[in-house]
Order: sequence, then structure tokens, then C-alpha cells
Amino acid sequence: MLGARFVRPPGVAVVVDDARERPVTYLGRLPDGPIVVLQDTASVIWVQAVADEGPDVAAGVAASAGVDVAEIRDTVEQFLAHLVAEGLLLRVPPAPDQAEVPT
Amino acid sequence: MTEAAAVPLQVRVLMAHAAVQQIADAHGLDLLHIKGEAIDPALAAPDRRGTDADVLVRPSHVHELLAVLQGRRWSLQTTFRTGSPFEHAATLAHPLWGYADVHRTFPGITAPPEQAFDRLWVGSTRRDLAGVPCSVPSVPAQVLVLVLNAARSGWGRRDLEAAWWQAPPEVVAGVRALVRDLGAEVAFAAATGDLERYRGRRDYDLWRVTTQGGGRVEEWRARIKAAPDARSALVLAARSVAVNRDHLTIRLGREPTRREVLAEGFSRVSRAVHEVLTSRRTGRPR
Repeated sequence: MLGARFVRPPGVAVVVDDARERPVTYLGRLPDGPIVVLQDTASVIWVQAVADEGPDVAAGVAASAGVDVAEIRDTVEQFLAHLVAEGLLLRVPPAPDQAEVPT
Repeated sequence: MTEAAAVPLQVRVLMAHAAVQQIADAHGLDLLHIKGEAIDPALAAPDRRGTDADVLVRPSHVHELLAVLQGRRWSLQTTFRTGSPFEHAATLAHPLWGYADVHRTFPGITAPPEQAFDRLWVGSTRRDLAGVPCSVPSVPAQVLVLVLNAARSGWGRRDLEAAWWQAPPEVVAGVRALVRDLGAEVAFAAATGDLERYRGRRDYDLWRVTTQGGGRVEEWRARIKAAPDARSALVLAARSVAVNRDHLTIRLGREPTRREVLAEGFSRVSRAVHEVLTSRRTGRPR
């Protein structure tokens, strides 16, 4: 999923609680609910995905967790696909300066 | 990934603001998020957290907003008439987001409601609540709302300290202009300890009773006196002996029976008679 960029869907409210020991992200589908709670790594992945810190979400998660990106890439990308399918993340075209340059 | 029941109150309140804004946007309805989680962090008293989502709605949009909210899992808990002595807000509840108070006016503002909303709408901006851009009043207007709210609320005294007494000169000037434009002088003075300057004003007694306390008879007399015209005063006088069925329902946890409504009415009349007799004996103003 390199080159993808993610944003919060307009119909989803979000509250990130990263002040506690275990990070939690609350996602509320508007206007009726439900509220979906992402804990620990799930929360880190969602926050990293919308952080606009480059197209490689797995690399960002690996850096924040202090692990090798190769170990987690498949898991992260499967979870991102799941979030997109559930309507909790929106996949959008990469920003011009983030687009992969053909070699 | 779980759907947890134990979502913190602050999270639900933020999402309530976001949900109400989304519904308002979808229907072209104007509203301003006030108090609690919606206020500028620089104005909030330490440890102050909202327990519900308060919105001030353009008066001509109130009826439609209540209708569309009730079509989206919000249920009416108290009506404008039964919600408070000022009849300014209706309370709705949502199974996930919690409570929202829909204000059609704000106590202390005496300018005509639509005109007052227009004045508060000027300078309003958008502030992210739960990631959703929500309309909030200008900073001076937020301060004014907190000050007027402090006149009716013990908690609000802490807001007063943070929002008003520590406000920079440019904000103070903005608040004073709003007080004048919105006809909020008496309530503002009641909150800031200067009420006696307005002893001759029609709403002086109302704010004296509100800030210093008083019995039901005194409260109703002050409300009738503060009414803007004779017709409003007559309507209030007629209601003064009626039982607030919404509050009785909340207190009992179910719909009251006809006998319970009658008993409550008798109890209220008894209390009122007792207050009159007591005030005559003690010479306390009635």
C-alpha cells in the first residue's frame, strides 16, 4: 500500500487519547453511531495513517514501536485495508510530492 | 477493534457536538456551540469539563432542528417550557452521545432572540470538536456566555474567574460591546457583583432571586415582573400553578399517574402558601 494516503472520512468523528499509558482512539460514525474503539497498536496505526508524515504507514508505525518494518508491514497493511473497508479511513490519491516516481 | 460501552463522558460529549453539527450542516441550520467542551481552552477554568453538548440555535431554525434530531435517535427529555424557569433550552438524550441542551435564547440576553443570534453569529468561527469543524462564537461572545451562565451556576463562578477577571483589555472591550448590543446589562451585573446599579430595572428582581436565592412565590413573581409584555406576564402567571410533568417524570423514573400529578400540584400550592405566610411573619420581601 506504498503511495497510498489516508484521511479521516468526513462522516467519522475522532477523539485520540494518547495521554494514558495505552493509547486509545475513539471513532464515532456520524450522526447515529456506533463508537468504535481502537486500542494500543490499532490506535497507533490509525493515528499514523492520518498523520500526513509520508506514504509508508508501516514504516512510521515501526519507527514509533521500535521494531523492524519488515516484521509488521503485512499486518499493518491488512489492518489499513480493513479500516478502509469499514469506512473508518478514507484512501485518497497521494499528494503530488509523495507520488512514487517511476524509475 | 471493539465497540466498547465504557466510552469516557468527555469523548461522548465531543462526539455529541460533532453529531449535532453534522445534522445542522446537512439541513442548512445555523447553530453555535457554547460552554463546556466548545469553549476556547484559554477561557476554561482548570479541570472544567463539559457534561453535555450545549448549542444555541438560530430561533427560526429551532423547530426544524428538534424535529431532525428526534429522527436520529435523539429523544426529548425536557421541553423549553419545562426545562428551566427561563424556558431557554430543551434537553435531548442520545443512547451513545449522551445529552444535548438546545438553546433558543440565553438567559440574561433581552434583545429579540433572532436579532441576538445574528449579533452572536457575527465573528463566529469554526473549531474542531472530535475532528469535526463546529461553529463557535467569537472569544468575547464566549466570555459573555460564560459570565451570564455564572450568574445561574455555582460551577460557573470558576469560569468567571478564568474567563472574565483575567481577560485581556481587547476582550473586555468586546464583551462590553456585546452586553450593550444584547441588552444583557442586568444579568451581567448580577454575575459580576454589580447588580444594585440596576435596582430600578424590570428584571432586577429576577436576577436577585437567581443569584441570591428565594422561594417559589418570589421566583414566579420576579419572572412575571421581568416579562417583556402583559401577554407574556399573563401566560407566566397561568403556568405558575401548573405541575412540571417532565421533571416529575424524571424524578419518578416513569410517566406520572393523574393522581400523582394532582398530588404534586397540591404540594406546590402548599409550599407556596407556606412561603407567603413565612415571608409575612419574617418581613422578607415577597
